[in-house]
Amino acid sequence: MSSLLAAIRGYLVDVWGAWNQFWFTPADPATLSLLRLLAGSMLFYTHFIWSLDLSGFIGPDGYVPVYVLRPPGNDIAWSAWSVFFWIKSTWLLWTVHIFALLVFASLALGFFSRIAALLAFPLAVSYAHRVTPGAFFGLDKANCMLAMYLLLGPCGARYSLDRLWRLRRGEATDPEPSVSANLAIRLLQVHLCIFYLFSGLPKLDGSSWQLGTALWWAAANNEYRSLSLLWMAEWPKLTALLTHATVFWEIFYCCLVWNRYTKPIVLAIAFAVHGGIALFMGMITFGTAMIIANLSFFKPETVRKLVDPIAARVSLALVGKKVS
Amino acid sequence: MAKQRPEKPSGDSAADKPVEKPAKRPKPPREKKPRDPAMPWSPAVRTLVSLAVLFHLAAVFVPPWFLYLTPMHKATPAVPPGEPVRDARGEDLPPNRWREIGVEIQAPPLVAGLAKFFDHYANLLYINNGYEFFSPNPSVSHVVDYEVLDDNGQPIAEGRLPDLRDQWPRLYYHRHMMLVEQTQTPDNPLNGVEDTVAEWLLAKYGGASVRMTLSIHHLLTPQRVIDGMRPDDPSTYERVGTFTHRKGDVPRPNAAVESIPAPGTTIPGVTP
Repeated sequence: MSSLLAAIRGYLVDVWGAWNQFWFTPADPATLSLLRLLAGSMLFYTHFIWSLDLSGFIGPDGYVPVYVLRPPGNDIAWSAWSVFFWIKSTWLLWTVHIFALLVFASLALGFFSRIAALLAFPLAVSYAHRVTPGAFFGLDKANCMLAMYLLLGPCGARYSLDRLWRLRRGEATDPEPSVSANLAIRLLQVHLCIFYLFSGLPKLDGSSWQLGTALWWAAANNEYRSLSLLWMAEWPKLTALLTHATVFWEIFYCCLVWNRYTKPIVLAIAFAVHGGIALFMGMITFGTAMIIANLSFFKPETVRKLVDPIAARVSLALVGKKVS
Repeated sequence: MAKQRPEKPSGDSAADKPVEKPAKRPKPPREKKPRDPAMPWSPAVRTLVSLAVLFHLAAVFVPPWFLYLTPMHKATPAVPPGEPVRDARGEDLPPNRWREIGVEIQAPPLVAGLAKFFDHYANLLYINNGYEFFSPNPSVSHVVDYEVLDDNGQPIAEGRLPDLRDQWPRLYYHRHMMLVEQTQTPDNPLNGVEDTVAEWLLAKYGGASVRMTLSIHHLLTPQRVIDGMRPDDPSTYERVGTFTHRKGDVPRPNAAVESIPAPGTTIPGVTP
């Protein structure tokens, strides 16, 4: 009996140790900083596009007026909130919009990064709730997911104006490894696994996904198409292979992305799938946002190897010192 | 030899003093454990954060799980398994009409309870959604052609939602595309808000009325493409309804949807 208890205790100690190692080991903030740069740019561009018809999509009396989403006496949860539900005047709408664009630009540039990250997330959610339902799609989910985890860690530690500013003041020390940087990245990784799992599972209910024809129907949709995939009409087995591979990849992403041997394959497929969506199905922004999210699986050392040379050149040009 | 007692100090004041206890040996200062640089957060902090992480990940997991289990196409009536849901004439009723005869759609009790528990938290963080892209099947698109008319019934503006020629860059076009799709999907709560879209078009162009035509753009089978048919061939567009909205009209739910043909309707050469 006591040996059984000891075994259980040993198991629990091991689990706790592994859990701690996974979530609470300090990590170089390079990956989080790269995500800030890219996701911040995506947030800025995505929301800049609303400027083309701000009143139509976000304004109180646009295509889908606020009273349709929040009818008087409704039982819609208060928590599905948006600052735009309370804005009535056009000047205030534009003021908030310009403020939001400045925040997203600050986040992208890494200018007062932590404050920008704290503001960017509620602002992104505000836009998303205003157009849900209305004109939202996967891009809004990906943007909010990225913004949510950026605010948890030191996202401006590298590749930022904040870093250059510190250098200019003579603080040339390298950013410390950070637990919160690791925590933010780990949460994003697990969130991404859940994202793909529930993108894959519903496809099992679809006859076209079972038959292997779904990619054809997606490719044949004229409203989505940006580059033609109509040549697939003559390649039904290739279409079926890609369709089945998509379903398997989505469902098993959550298992295979953690193994060091399968991870490169899973990420390569992610880049291919989202790159394909961006190029062929006209969803450049969504495809790019998902590729950015997948970069969370890049180790900080890999990110530094790839990005530091570019960052060093930028810092040399701006502050006369070569640092990342 | 008798043991000598230590002499008491003389004087009253000395007698009042309590006997001094031998000084306690000072405890050696407790050595602070050096914090493990590989695990800088204390166990207490890690425990608290771990609980928060578990709560958050559960909140991320539950909404898409709930939505996956409860889509309209998988709706299960709250009747014994296998029992059909029929109206008084004995005809099978679709799920959106079950409530008319007092039959509710079943919800998975555990997952529905969890979804309710996490509802506000998930709403606040915009993780209250599913990730069902192109599922259960990729479907047809909808397009809306509109014509804005002045007081005399003369056209002053016309256009299409979505339209790549007018709506650029691509994301701007895609927002219009989503707008049309989300107002035309039968399960969507926005289904039937054509009047508000029309009202906005009137505000934008300053007209007196707007005529809107909804079409379904059907998908071509591979064989049709091999045979040389183009995806934008006029025959692939099926006009399903036209309605006119005058400035200030009270929104009519499902104005255009009334004329949508029954599910399963096909047009030649095209797969719905």
